[in-house]
Amino acid sequence: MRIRRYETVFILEPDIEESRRRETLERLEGIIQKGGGLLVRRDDWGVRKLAYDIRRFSKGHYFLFDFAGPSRAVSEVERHLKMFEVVLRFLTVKKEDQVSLEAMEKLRAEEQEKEEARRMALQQRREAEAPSARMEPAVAKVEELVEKEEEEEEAEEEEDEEEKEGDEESSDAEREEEEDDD
Amino acid sequence: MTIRVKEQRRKRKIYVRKKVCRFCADASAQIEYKDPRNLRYFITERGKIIPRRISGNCAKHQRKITLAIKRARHLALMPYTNLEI
Repeated sequence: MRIRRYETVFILEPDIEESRRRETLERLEGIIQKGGGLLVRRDDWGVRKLAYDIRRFSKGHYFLFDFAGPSRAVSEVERHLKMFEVVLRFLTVKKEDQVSLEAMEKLRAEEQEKEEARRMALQQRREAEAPSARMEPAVAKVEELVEKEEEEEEAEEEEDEEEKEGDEESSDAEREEEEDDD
Repeated sequence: MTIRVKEQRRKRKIYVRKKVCRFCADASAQIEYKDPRNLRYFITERGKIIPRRISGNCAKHQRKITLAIKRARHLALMPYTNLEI
């Protein structure tokens, strides 16, 4: 049987309970496995604003499943996505036309290692911050927190600015192009 | 009357500079439906896809962009229409 690599992006309702979300994701993983497929990577894009409302929701929780499997696995996944009530939208794209499950297994191991490393780094950073906060008086802790928040805000602002710049560029380009069109 | 218009057209065309497909020029630029930020360059403020004759893309890359935009629209990453402007 021919094994292909697919990528499915789907949007869940933004405000469902954590347990329900996890159950949905686990069930999908199970469906891929049952269909003879292999989940290579699972991405959580987080809650994003939708470009237009879907079923009166203006936000959605995006997920990406990168998996390999026979066509049967895909049709099963899509059939179930259609049935889940918490799924607002989904899209499956074929990434590679022929892959081997062994190679995919290797890829998955690599991805899991990366994920593990990321989690460890995060934990270490948290642990490094925690004891120092405990040692210092409460005032210092508050200051630290405020600083951190400020940093985060700055980061967000930078992102926003980037987006705005992008907008300006595109609208400039459009104007230019419209002139050319005359 | 029509002849004059045609002549004007021809004259003006001399000044149109040749546009180069930016994806042919830069091989590292990816066309991804997951990246609406880059696709935004190829839609108008209203959300319509900009035609090839204006954006200057080659046929191959315009097809890819069109497909990517349509996918992004389905996933609500990009608007189908934007009536606010």
